[in-house]
Amino acid sequence: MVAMQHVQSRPGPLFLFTGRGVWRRAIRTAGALSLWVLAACRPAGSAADRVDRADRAEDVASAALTAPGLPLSQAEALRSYVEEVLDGFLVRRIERMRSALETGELTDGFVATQRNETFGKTFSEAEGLFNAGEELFEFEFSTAEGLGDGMGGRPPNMHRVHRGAHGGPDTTSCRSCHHRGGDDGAGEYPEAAFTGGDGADTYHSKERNPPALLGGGALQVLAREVSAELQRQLEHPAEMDYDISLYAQGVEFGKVRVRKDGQMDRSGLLSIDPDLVVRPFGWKGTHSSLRRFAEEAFQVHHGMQSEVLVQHRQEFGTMPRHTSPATAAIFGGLGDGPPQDPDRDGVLRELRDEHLTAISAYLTLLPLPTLELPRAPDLVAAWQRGEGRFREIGCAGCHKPSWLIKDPRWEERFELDASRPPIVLDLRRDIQRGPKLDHYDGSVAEYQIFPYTDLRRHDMGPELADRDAPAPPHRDGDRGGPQIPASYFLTRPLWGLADTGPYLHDGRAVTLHDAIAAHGGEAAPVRARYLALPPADQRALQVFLLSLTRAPVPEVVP
Amino acid sequence: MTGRARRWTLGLLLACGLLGACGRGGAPQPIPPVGEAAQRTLLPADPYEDARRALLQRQLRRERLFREAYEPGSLWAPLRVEQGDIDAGRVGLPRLLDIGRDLFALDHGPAQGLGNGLAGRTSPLAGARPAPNLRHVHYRGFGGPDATRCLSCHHVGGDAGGGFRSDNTFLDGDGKAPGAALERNPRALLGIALLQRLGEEMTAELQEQRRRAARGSDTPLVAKGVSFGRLKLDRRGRLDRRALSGVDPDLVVRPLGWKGTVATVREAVERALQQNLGLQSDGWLRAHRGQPELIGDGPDPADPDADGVRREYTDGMVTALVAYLSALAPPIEAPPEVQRFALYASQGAEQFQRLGCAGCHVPELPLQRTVVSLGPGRGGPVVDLAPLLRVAGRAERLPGVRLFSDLRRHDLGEGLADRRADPGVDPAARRQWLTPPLWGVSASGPYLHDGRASTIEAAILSHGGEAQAARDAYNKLSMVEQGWLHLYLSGLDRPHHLEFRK
Repeated sequence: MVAMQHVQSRPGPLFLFTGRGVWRRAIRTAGALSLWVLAACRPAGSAADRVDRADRAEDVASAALTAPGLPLSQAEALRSYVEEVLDGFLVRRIERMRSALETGELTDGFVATQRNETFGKTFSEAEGLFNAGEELFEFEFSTAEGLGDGMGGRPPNMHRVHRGAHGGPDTTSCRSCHHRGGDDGAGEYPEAAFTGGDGADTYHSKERNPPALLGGGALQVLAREVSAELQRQLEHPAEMDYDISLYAQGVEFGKVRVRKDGQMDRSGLLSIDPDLVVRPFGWKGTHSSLRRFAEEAFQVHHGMQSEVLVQHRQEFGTMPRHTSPATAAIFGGLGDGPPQDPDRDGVLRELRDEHLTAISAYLTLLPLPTLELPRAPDLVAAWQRGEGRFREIGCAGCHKPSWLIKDPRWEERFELDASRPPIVLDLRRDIQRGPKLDHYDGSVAEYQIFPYTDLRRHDMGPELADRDAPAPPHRDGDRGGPQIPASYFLTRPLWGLADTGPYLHDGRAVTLHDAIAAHGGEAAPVRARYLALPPADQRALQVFLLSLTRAPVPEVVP
Repeated sequence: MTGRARRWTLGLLLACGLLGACGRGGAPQPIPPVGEAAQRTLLPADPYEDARRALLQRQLRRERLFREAYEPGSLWAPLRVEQGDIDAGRVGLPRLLDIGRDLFALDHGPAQGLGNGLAGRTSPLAGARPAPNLRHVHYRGFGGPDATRCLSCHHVGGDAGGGFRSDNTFLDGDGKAPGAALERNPRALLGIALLQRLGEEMTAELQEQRRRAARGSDTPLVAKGVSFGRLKLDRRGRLDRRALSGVDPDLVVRPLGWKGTVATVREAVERALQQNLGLQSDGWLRAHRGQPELIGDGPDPADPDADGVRREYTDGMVTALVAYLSALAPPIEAPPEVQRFALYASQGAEQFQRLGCAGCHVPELPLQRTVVSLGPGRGGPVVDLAPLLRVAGRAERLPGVRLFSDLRRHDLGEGLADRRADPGVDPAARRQWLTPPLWGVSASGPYLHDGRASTIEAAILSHGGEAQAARDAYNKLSMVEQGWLHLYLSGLDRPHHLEFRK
C-alpha cells in the first residue's frame, strides 16, 4: 500500500474514475474489499491443501498484500449493489418467462416505460433508455423481429462471410460478440466478422475483431468538439492562397490548401475524412456517432434494417449530403425488395427509431474504462517504468494519453418524429454501472479523459493491411464500405485494454508483444525502439498496458 | 507348512493383490464439484459472499497476469503437471482441479504451442501467417486453429457453457469457406462426465446382449430402456448392421458431440486441443503417429505442427482438464418463482410427455456406478462422481441423471441435414443427430447443431424425420399451450452467480 500511495500522489492519468455517489462507493469498495478478503481468508482448507497450493503463483502475489480495514459504509454499498444486480436478474427472468408465454416481443411498449413498471422504481429518462438499450443489447433476435433477410434464401439466410455492405447476417445478439471481460467487452477470436466479403470465402473479406465498447460516450462528445475545432480553423475568409495545418489539442490532422476563391484542396488529409469530421468508431474510423455505428451493426450482423434509413430511402431515394461513406454504403446495400421491406423478409420497421434511440443511449452511457495497478511492489515499480517507456519510445505519439472535453452532454434525437424533444444525456450524471465523467483536476474547467488515441488514422504498413477484399458483384449501389486505403487504421483507443485480446483489427496477435511487433508503416520507428529495449523494459511496458482496464463490477451472467 | 500358515500366506498374497489392484489411484475419491457449479440453486444463497469471492478471484487473476507479463512463464510453469506426478500422488485432486480450471480459462499463446508454424510449407494444412497462424475455417481433420482458449467458445451462461452463434466452429472444411465446412455450435459442458458414464454403462449393456445372443437370433436391442433397434445375427453369428438403430456397429454408445462420435471426455479434450487450439497433447500424438493430415507434416516428429514447441500438452495437463470438466455439476431445474407461472410450467411438463418430446428427450436415465478414471486409458486418478448428483444432506439411493436425452441418434429429416456426412460416419447419417440433452437448455441458446434457432420455439419447429409427429402435435397446440411448454423448458437452467467475466 505504501507503493500504491506513492503512485497515487504522482501527477499523471492515474485515477480515471472519479465518479460520484453510490457507484463510486461500490467500486471503491470492490477494490478495498478484494484486499480485505485476501487477507481474511487465505489460510483455508487442510494442511495438505495448503502445502499443495504453496507454490501457486497467486500466493506469491497475495503475500505481498496488506489488509486495510473495511469501513462499514462501503460494505453496505456493495451489499446494496449486489441486491440490485440480483433483482435485475430475477426481473429479467420473469420477463423471459412472460415472453415465453406470449410470443411477439419487441413491441413499441417495450421501450423505457414498461421497464419502469416492472421494476416498480422511478427512473430518469436516461436510465429508462439505458435499461431498454441493455435489453436490446442482450436480446437474442429471431426472424420474428426481422433477423436476416429473404434475399436469395429463406430468412434468416445467415452468411458467416458478409455479402458486401449488405452484411451477413452472422449472429443473433450484440452480446454474442461483445462480452469478453464483461458486458460490452470485446469479442474472442472465433467471433470475428468477415465484412465486405463475397458471401462465401473468409479470405475474400475484411476480417474484423469485435472491439470493446466501454467509454464510447466520451469519445462521441470529444469527436464532436474536435471536429468543430478543425472546421473552425477553415472559417477565415481567404485573401490569398495559403496552406493551413489543422491542429486540435496538439494533434495534427493534416494540411488543407485554401484558395482565394473559397475552394479548398483537401488531398493533404489522409488521417481524417475530407469533411473534417472525426470518426472515432470502427477499426478504420468510419462513424462519428454511436447511433450510426449501432445502425450499421444491426444491419450487417443481424440483418435488422433501420426504420430511419428505410423510410428515408422510400421518401427521398438518396441519402442527405452529410452522410458518412459507411452509412451510405449500408444504405446502398439495404436490399432490392419493396420500398417498405428492402430485405424481403416480410418484417417491416425492424429496428425502429425508438430502438435505435435506446441502443444509442445505452452505448453512450456505458461506464468509462479505468486504471488499476498491480499490487506487488516490484510490479508497481515495473508499471512505473513501463509507463515511462510508453512515452519515451513514442507510443504516446499516436496513442495520445489524454484529451479535454468541454461539454459533457449529448443530445440523442428521435429522427422520424421531430415533435419529440431530444433526450439530453449528461456523462457526468447519467452514466450507469461504473465510472462517470468527472473533473480529474478541479482547477481545470474541462473534463479530462484518458483514451490513449489521437483520433486519426495512420498508415500501418503493408504487414497490417487488409487482404485485398474484392468489390462484391451483384446489386447496384452495393459498395463494400468507405474507400479507406487498406493499410490505414484509426489509432485504437487503448483504454480498457486488459481482457480484450486477441489484438489488432483482425485479432491476429494473441500476445501484447505480438501486437506491438505487428505495427508497421508510420509506427515502424517506434516498433524498432520497442524491440531495441531490454526485455525487462518491454515486459514493464506490457505491465503498464495491462493496467488499462475496466472498473470491477461483478455481474450475473444470464 | 501347516494349513494355518498356508491360509495366512494366501491371505497376505490376496491382500497384496488387492492393494496392487487399486494401487495407482487408490480408492475412488469423491469429486468435489468445482466452485460455483457446486451451488445447486438458481442464485447463490449468500450473494454478498459470492460477490466477495468473485472480487478475490478477479484480483488474484489480474495479479497473476501482471506477473506473467513481467516474468513470462511464471503463470504457466506450475500448470505443466506431469502424469507421473499425478499417479504418484504428488499432485492431489484439489490441485488438479485448480490447474484444469486455469488451463480452461487462460489464453494460450505461441509460447505454449498455440497454433502451428506450418505457414510456407507446400501442404494446404495450415494458413499463411507466422505462428499461431489462426484461421476460422478448419482444414480437414487438422483443424484451424480458431480459438485461444476453451473459454473462447464455452461461456454462455457462465464458464463451461455453450457458445453463441458467432462462436460456431467450422469443422472439416477447406480452410477458407464456411459453406464447405461442417458448422457446429459449441455445446455446454456441464455434467459431461455423467454423460460419459451413462454411455459406458449403455455400451456394456449392449455388448453383453451381443455376447449372449445365439447365432441366427433376432432380439430387440435395449439399454437403460432405450431401444437401439434389433440385434440380428445370421447363422455364422455376423451382425446385421441394418437392423441396428441409432448406434454404431461396434455397439459403443458415444454420448458426446452433435453426431455422437466421441465416447470419453478425454478424447473430446484432446481433439478440441488439436483442432480448435493447435495444441498437441502427448496422447493425441501417440494416437495419431504417422497421420500427418491430422497432426501436421513438420520435419520434427516430436513437433509435427512445427511451431517450435514440443510436448505442448502433457498427459497430466489433459488429465487436469478432464478432472475440471468432470467436476462440473449438471444443470439444475428451477421452476418459476411466480405461482401462476409455476402452474403453467407444470402443465408444460405434461405437454412435454403427451406430445412425445419425452420419447427421445428421455427425462431421466438411471446410473448404476459413478466411478470413473480420469485417464489416460484406464489409468490415472479414480474419482467418484456421486457428489455431482446428490443433493446436500440427502445421502440415500443415487438419483437418476435428469439429462433429457436417450443418448442415441435419430433421423431428424432433410431440413436439419448436413450437406455431407461427418468424416468416418456412415454417409446415410447425414440426417442423423444424437438427441442433445436438454438440461440447462434455457441458459445454452442458440439451439441446434449449427445454432440456427434463437428461440426454443424455432428449435422445436426445425425438428423433422422421426420427430415430425411430435412437431406436428406441437403445431396443433394453441399459442397458450405452446407457451406452457416454453415456460417449462425455460426452467431447465443452470446455477448463476456473481462473477467477473474473464
